[in-house]
Amino acid sequence: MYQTNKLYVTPLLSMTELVTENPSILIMLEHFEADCVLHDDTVSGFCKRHNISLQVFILVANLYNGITPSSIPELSHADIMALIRFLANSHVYYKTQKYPEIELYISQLSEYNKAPEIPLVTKFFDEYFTEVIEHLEYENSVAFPFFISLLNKQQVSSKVGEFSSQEYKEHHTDIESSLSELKRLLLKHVPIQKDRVLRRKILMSLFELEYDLHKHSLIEEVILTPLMQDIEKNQYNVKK
Amino acid sequence: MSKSSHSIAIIEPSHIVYEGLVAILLNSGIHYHVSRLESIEELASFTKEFDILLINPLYIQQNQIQFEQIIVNKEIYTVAIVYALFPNQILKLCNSVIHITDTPEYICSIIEKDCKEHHSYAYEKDKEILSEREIQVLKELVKGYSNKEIADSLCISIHTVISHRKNIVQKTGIKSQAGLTIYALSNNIIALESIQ
Repeated sequence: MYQTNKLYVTPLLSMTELVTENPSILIMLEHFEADCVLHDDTVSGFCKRHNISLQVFILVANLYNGITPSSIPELSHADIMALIRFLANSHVYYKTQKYPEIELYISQLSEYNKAPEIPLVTKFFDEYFTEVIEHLEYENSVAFPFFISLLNKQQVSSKVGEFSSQEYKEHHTDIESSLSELKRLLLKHVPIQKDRVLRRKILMSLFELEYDLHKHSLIEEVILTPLMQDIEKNQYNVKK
Repeated sequence: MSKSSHSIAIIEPSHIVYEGLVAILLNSGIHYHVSRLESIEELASFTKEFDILLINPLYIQQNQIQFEQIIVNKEIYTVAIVYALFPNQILKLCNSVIHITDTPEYICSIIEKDCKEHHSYAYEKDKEILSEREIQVLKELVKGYSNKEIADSLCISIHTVISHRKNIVQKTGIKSQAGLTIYALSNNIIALESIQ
């Protein structure tokens, strides 16, 4: 699931090479609303065919490959909107695919493992799941609309005005630390019975989720929030 | 999971050499924090503690006295990056030497070795073994007692309870009540009955 080399993504890189080096890119393609049949496309050809902004694609793909930009890139409003769409699509993926998959596995645990820890693990996951859904809702209903109204230079409505980048960051930290806790418990502590195969499936899923969630937070914290702060500052200055 | 990250300072004028070193370190699989510094003066002014210093001996030659002061005061492990001739007495001031022609594996092994020898204490601390007192605090914690209640029942100050709790979180990597309960149960620290 993890890429081994830090492959630097450029417009002329072959898409097949990109995906072969780092299979997690497949999920990224889905977030870009693109399919995974790559033909002989280069990165730039693929973006053209799927109508994706090349700059945004390269930025995000490099983040997936572990390369963080050294300075905040200058993105057009359309590009920022594309980035927000990407994030919103990942929410759909978490909510409708990844979390339900893990939830199903966890609910099956008690069939194979009668240890007293299992009901506690289930409870832990349920509480965590609720927390995640709340955060996704917050992003969908407060953070993203806030960004979009800033982009469109609209008056920020009062509900959306509650957005705080500090709160945003804390949510991410909480979600990532609960996830790593769950992984750690299942990997190091909870005794195994007849759940060897299921346990592996859960862990693989958790690693996959963790990887994508981490990139998700990076996009929000390293790129989107600073860009938005710049825009906010500029608009404030113009008003003055 | 448990990540022990080492902080490395690099003082090297060539951008190519610097970038190359960073790439080698990043690919080594060990967590390093790398900072590039301009001079020995800058290193001296840093409040942040570095574990390892990779330095072009040119800078040592220009500022030998200050360099010697720093390695004594900061207890930093020093590695010379060599691609030109330097007098032996300069190179001797460093703990290790790497050459421009060394393989990435060799360079990583030198730095990794330095980390381990020099920071075995940090490695020990990362181990997940709880002290007796921490186990007592954990037992009370999973029963849902507050810091104040735990302090009273163990006859210690609240401040001490908080510091035990910090250590528990640091050692186990688990901070939620539910997670700690699972941890305590799996490690036979508590019995199921005590939480029901």
